[in-house]
Amino acid sequence: MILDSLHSAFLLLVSWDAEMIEIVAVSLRVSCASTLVAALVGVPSGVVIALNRFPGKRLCLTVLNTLLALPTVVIGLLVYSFISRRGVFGPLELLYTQKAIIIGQVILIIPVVTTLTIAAISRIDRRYRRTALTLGATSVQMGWVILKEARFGVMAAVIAAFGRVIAEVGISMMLGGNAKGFTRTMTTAMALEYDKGEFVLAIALGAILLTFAFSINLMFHFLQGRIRGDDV
Amino acid sequence: MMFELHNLTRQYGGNTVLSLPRLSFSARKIYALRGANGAGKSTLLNLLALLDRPSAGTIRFRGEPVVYESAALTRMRRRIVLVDQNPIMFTGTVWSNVEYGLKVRKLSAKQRELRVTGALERVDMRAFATADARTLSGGEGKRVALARALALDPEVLLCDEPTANVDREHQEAMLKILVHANELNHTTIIFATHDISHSNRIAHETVVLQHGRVNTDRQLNWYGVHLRKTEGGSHQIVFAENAVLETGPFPAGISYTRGQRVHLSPHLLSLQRPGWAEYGNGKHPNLPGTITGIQADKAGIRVVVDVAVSIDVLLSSQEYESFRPSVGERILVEVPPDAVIFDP
Amino acid sequence: MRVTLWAALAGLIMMTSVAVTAAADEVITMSTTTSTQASGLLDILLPQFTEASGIEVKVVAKGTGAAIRDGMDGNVDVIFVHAREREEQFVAEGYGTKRYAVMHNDFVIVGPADDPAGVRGSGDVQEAMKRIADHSALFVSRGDDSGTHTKEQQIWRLSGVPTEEVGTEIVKGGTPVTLSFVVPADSEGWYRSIGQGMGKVLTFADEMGAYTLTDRGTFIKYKYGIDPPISLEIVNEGAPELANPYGVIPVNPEKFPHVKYDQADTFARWLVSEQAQQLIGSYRLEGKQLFFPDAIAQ
Repeated sequence: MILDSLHSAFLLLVSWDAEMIEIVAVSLRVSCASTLVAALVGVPSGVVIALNRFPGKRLCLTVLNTLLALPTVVIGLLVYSFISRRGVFGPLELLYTQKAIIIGQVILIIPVVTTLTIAAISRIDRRYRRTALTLGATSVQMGWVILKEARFGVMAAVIAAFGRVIAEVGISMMLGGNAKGFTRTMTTAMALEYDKGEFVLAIALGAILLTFAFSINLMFHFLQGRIRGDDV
Repeated sequence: MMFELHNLTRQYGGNTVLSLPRLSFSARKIYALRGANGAGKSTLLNLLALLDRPSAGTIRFRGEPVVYESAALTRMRRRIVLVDQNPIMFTGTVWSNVEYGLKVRKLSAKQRELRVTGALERVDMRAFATADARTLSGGEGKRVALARALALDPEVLLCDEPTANVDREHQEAMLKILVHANELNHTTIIFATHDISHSNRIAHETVVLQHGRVNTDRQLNWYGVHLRKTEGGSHQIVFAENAVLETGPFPAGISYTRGQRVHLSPHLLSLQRPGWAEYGNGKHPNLPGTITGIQADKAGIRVVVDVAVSIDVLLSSQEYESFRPSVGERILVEVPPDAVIFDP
Repeated sequence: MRVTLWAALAGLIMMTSVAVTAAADEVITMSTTTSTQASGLLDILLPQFTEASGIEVKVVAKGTGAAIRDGMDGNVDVIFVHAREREEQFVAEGYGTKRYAVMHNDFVIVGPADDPAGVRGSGDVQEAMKRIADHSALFVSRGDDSGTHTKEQQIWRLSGVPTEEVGTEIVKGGTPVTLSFVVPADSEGWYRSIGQGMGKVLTFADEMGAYTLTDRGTFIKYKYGIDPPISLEIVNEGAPELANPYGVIPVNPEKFPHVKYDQADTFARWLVSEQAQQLIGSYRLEGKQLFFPDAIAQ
């Protein structure tokens, strides 16, 4: 039975099935959007937190690390209570749209991007900061230099965040509602197909997801290598 | 005055690493900062480069008090450049590294081109302009770092050990570049070194740091000695007929002639009671003598020992408390290798 | 290096803007039950409706409780569920305008082929449930406040088996709510409430050799539509108490002015039109009729 399903899944994959392609496209759009937004917020915050000493920094890091472990269903629940019609942002008509998923996912991965950016920046030799400053850089210019020196680590942070959202199911299901053609992502589609007891599409999507995960890990690995190379 | 320091201290985790009641540097001069490792040279350079804040006290730059507030600090910092002992290069070419400081100052492309070319020529690294800055050797890196600083035509150039860890050829080149910058651009230069010959050759003035303080009594503990090698192969410094110190090999370039001058750093010397050394407590070669005087001093407790010549030994108050030497007591002056400084 | 980075960034931004502009105007949102969606009927009905009216229907499938709750919160324009009493209450409380009876299928009691509790031939459903309880035979409950779960509790009450109320905290519509469920008394040893969808309950019951209550559609799917099929068999069916009527209700615009009432009502009326009713009546799953149209005579 598994072999049969695998065979059919393979046929689905090579035939470039329209429904499958649409699901993959929705997944990619949503994940790219949330990764982009999270990166635009998380990377600068990470740089600022890493480069400055301020009261409460340790607490800030602890909170960020705690947020890393925030389950997707908790975020889903929280965002739901805000964007449901009865919630504060109800009138914005966000629930069961791709925007809703993006909001939830952004909350999920901002801590990922931020903490990994902080780690990447902290790995950079302190002399870069001193050198930039003594050569006349303002603190913003100095931050930019450090970010450039830490670019592989920061890229790895963003890729890790993308890997997290593309494989995430709780938020997509609770906030997107798995509406076909609108908010059906690879993971929610797989959950549905499993519920229906039909494994063909689920296996095909799983294969695609695995391929993504594999390429993401390859990139991550490559960047890790570059980061280590930097230290020499 | 370029810099005026007043009641300046810098502490790290409760330890005072720098304490300068009063110190000033005049414009257009070359200063050498000398002292052993950990004497506070780098700490002072960081403070002068405005990269670090004093724990207490004030720094005036060109008569203006330094305010540690971002925008004003950047403006003032842009008139001073520090070149690290082991400079780090940004990712990119040698050219882009030298250009960096000009870019953050928003100079035009034409201006930058002119200045970068000039700076690279001054350090004789023009041929390396398009090279990857991270592939440079230690000496080349130091020269590019110097060019990176000179391109900015600063009022003050601070250099931490510009001649350390590079070969003789690079050392000479570095010193020449510093002298040129001072003569041609009237740049005030303050450089840290532990090489007396370099400081004597190019510095107009020398500031000696010891334990984070300026050592004003440099004339103390200087001796005309006779160096000799025994048939057994050991090395001896002869202070007087019956004051002979066994040491390790002498530094390269020391000639075995009469008239050699040697300095013993007072704070690195220590005292031993004679009996203890015989039981193996003495780690270092020593000179036997008699205590002729004890006096309190700003820097600690000064014990004067007569070993045929007079040697000053500087003890911290704790060391004094635990050892309790008394005048007239027979004593051994222990001389660790790094306490001995040769004047070439 | 720099060029590729910027190109990637530009690509990302373009994809994002596409994502945000995807929603068309003539789209209504409908919450329905997972079993409705899983039956595949909507895949036949909705394209026909869109063709006829130009209105697209965005389907959000949940358990019945959550689907109704979405309507009560104004999160959707129309609900399509199968829990008659609760639907009528929904309309009575003013959340919906009108319940349109669309169709029905029925529930069946399934169990292991060797039927350890001897449920086969028990006749009415009350007796069937009694035998399961008497034998302390394993029984799997949805336990998720779904329409099937509602039906199951109703049948336990009717069966005369002693029952008790159990409070559970579940998350419903974004807030934790304490719900009380009816379960057979002293049933810890044989009654399993697993809080899962129908499909999972069926495979779970199959693995454990347990009895359960299921809608016929999902059962047919798992019995004839997958390979290997589940080995459970129908042990009791046909009682009027086991009928499972489906209704469609537009959300009341007086309660929620933002809902697309006109389009939702068009959809509801279309479902009871001759075209839709015929589609429903002719829908076959694994060669078996699943739904029986209620609005017109066949």
